[in-house]
Formats: sequence, C-alpha cells, structure tokens
Amino acid sequence: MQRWIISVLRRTIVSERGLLNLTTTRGLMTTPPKCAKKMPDRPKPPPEKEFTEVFLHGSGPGGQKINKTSSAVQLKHAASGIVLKVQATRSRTQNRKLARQMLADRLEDLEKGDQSRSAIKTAVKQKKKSSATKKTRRKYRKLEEEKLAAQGETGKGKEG
Amino acid sequence: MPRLPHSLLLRARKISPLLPLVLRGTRTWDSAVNELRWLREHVEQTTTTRDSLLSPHKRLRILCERRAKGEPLQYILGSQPFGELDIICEPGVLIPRPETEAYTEYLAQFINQHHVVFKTMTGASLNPSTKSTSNPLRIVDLCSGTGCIPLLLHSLLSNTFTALQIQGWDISQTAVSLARRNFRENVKRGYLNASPRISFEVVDIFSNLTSDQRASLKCDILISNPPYISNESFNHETTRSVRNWEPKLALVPNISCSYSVLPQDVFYARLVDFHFNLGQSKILLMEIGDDEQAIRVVKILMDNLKRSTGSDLQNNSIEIWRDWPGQASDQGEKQELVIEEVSVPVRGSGALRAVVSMRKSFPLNC
Repeated sequence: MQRWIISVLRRTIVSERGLLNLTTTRGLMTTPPKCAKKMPDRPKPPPEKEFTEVFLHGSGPGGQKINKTSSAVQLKHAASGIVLKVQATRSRTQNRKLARQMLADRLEDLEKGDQSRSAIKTAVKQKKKSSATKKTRRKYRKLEEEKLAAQGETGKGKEG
Repeated sequence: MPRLPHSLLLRARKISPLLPLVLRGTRTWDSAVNELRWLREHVEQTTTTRDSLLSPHKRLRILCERRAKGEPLQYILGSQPFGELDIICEPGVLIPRPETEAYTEYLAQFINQHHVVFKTMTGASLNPSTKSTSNPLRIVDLCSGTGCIPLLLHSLLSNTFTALQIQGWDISQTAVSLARRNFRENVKRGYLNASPRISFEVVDIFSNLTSDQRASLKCDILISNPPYISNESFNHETTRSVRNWEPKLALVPNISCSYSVLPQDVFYARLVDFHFNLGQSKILLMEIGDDEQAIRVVKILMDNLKRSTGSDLQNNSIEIWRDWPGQASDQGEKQELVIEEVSVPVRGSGALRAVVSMRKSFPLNC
C-alpha cells in the first residue's frame, strides 16, 4: 500500500514537472530509438508499357443508370505472367497506385529472391517474432523451475 | 429485380451475419464483400458524437440495414473518391460515377499534352497583344452537381496552367451549395490549391441568359453530364438504389422547349447550340447514356454544323469516347462508327459514354 502511494506521488511529481517545464528534455517516446539497419528502398514500378491495366466492371448499362462502387484494378505483366487484382480502397486512383506498388514488389521478388525488400521485411519480422517467443519461453521455463523448486521445498518441509 | 438465391444468403450468413443485409443492397457477391469491409472501416475510423453512445457493432448494424434498403453506399458513408479528391455526397445531389471520373481524367490528360496549343489559342483568341500565358484557360461545366468535374479538372490542370477560370452551373441550389462545400473541404484537406478559385452558380440554362452568362459561355472548354435518361428507361433500366434514392432532376430531363429532338436529348440540343452559336468553345464534351443516344447526339452535332458553318465538317472533328477512353479497345469493339456517311472515331473500351466535338486546327492525334 505504502509503495503504491509512493509510486503515485512520484508519478504526479513527474507529470507536474512536465507541465511546468514544457521544454522538457525527455522525449515522448518510451521505446529506445531503433538503430536497426535501414530497410532497402521500395522498388520502382515497371514502365507502363510493360503491363496492361484493366478496370473490372460488370456488363450492362453504366453511367447514371446504375451506381457501381467497384473500383477494382487488374494488372497483367506480360513478361513475367503476373496477374494481380486490387480492390482495397473505394478510390480507383488509390487502387491503381497500390497495384503498381504490388507489381513492383512481386517483380523484385522474382528478380532478387531473398535480397528483395519484401523478403528482407518478412525475415526481419520473423526474427523479431522468434526472439519474442524465445523470450516468453525462457520466462515460463524460469517460472516453472521456481515453482518446482518451491514445491520441492514445501514437500521437504512436510517430510520434516 | 431477380430474387437473391437462398443458398447465396446462407453462404453470406456463414461469413458474417451482416453480409446478407449488404447483399440485399448490392445484389452481387463481390461488391457486398467489399462494401461490408468499407462500412466496417468507416465505423472504426469515425467516432461520431451523434451516436457515440452506441457500440461500434450496433452502429455498423444500423449502416448495414440502411444499405439493405437500397440506400447508396456513398450517401451512407458521405463521400465518394474522385481522382485524388474526396467528394462529399448528400441526398438530393447525384453521386459521381466512375465513368465520369475516367473521361474527365482523359480530357485533362489530353489538355495537358497539348497545353502549348491551348495556351497559344487562348492567347490568340482573347488578346493577341499580351503574353499568351497570362490569359486563363476557361472551362464551364453545365449541370455540375457535386462539382466533381470542375474540381477534378482543377486538380489535374493547375500544375500546367497557372491561369485557370473554372465555373460550374447547376439549377439546384442544394447542388451548388454542396459543390462550394466540396471545394472548401478539398482545399482544407490539401487535395486542391485554394487559388485559382472555382465559382459555382445557380443557373437555369434553358432560361434567357444574362449577358454575363453569355460571356462566360464563350469559353475554351464546355463540359457537361446532363440528365439524359428517358422516362421509359428510368422505369426499367435504372437500378433500385438510383431510382429510389438519387434525384430524378439530375437523371431525367423534364423540359418542354422548341428543340425538335427526343425529350431525353433536350440538353444536348441546348449544349450544341451554346457550343456553335453562342459559346465558340474549342471543345464540347457531353456524357451520354447508350449507343443509340451517342448516334443521335452525333447527328444533332452534324445538323448544327451544316447549318451554322455551311457543311464545314472538315473544320470540326467529332469523337466518341467509351467508358475507359485511355484503355486499348477490346476485341470486337469498333474503333469507328459511320454516321451519315461520316466516320467517327471511337476511343477506348467499354460502352459508349461521351461525345466530344473539337474545333479545327487541333493536333488531334493523341
């Protein structure tokens, strides 16, 4: 209880100091700045001549008579045979940009393999995830050991 | 409207209990899945004060129920992306269509490609003594609705043309107010430059125009997406959401006038009249509804040409643009139509969507 009051007090003091002195040197970020390696740049989409673009739309009348919300964009890259469809947003302009970026990523994957931006990104993510799981595993192993040790002690106590 | 099969509704229910509701509004599976996702994103992103007491799930359910009754998604979400812009949509004003977006972008691309010609032409036609760049490119959009066409043209042309003078006219006060609001909002969000300004006015183009309005029509580009649906096809071809929720004023012309054309083509007769006899505009672009209407409008243009300039078809070129004028035409899509023994080029793929008339001395090979 006492400890809790102290911690609350300390917190209020800190926050008051922060309010009084707005130009505090302490940053807002609590996590340390990442010194990790810079990610490779996003690949540039191929020139427009290399692929064809189709706006997917149903048959039947168009214009004022109907009100379609579909804004799907399909790109076909002839050389690699990649076909991709994007309908993530309601904006056709946005979908066209996204589709070009996706095509660029896919082409880079084909060209560079594990050295491509997306491969590096997934590798970094996987590494982070595996180290996190390793950490939790370590933690629970430690807890388990402590528990066992405690049980052993109580068991001994009973015997004695 | 065909009944939705029970199996489809059951399949939708397995994915989400809200999907059958959206499906009742959209009638197709793909758009139902997409629209439910967008509705969900909308609920997650907006924390409205009005119904903040409701849980997000309850709010989503209310929106889906509105969609089930056929209310257009754009009215529910309150907006429609249009090029780089975000256009506010409200009941009483027609929702911008993707085809309109496509031909507006294509027109802007065409103007940008030939900006030198346009600059010298506007300079020459207005005031030969001053520098050509100081004269603005003047654009008038008739039946402007939400203001989507003028705003998108502004967004796409303002980099090339430092001087632009864009006007939007509409008969509806609601539409004009919304268009002005759309300009302000898009400027506020940084999608548009604040200057040059676009002006939106309430104008009935079938009334006797004032001298100022007549002067405004002597512009470089006249563009319009007028009401063009006949009463017959309004009752049979429009979808439920259009028929029940969008303003009939913007869809079906209801004007008795002296032009000897079909009632659904009245606006075209007026526009062509402006283009040839009053406006002297360089480009006239009109959205049209279907193939038959495209041919009728081309005929109206040709009749006027013969009358006003003495069968001078050589001095003018007429083109038809399809839904996606920038795309290569599909197999089986004609690239030209022969109307009254004149060959009219047809650009792009999709259904016929716009008729374009351009004055002579344009390098029209884009």
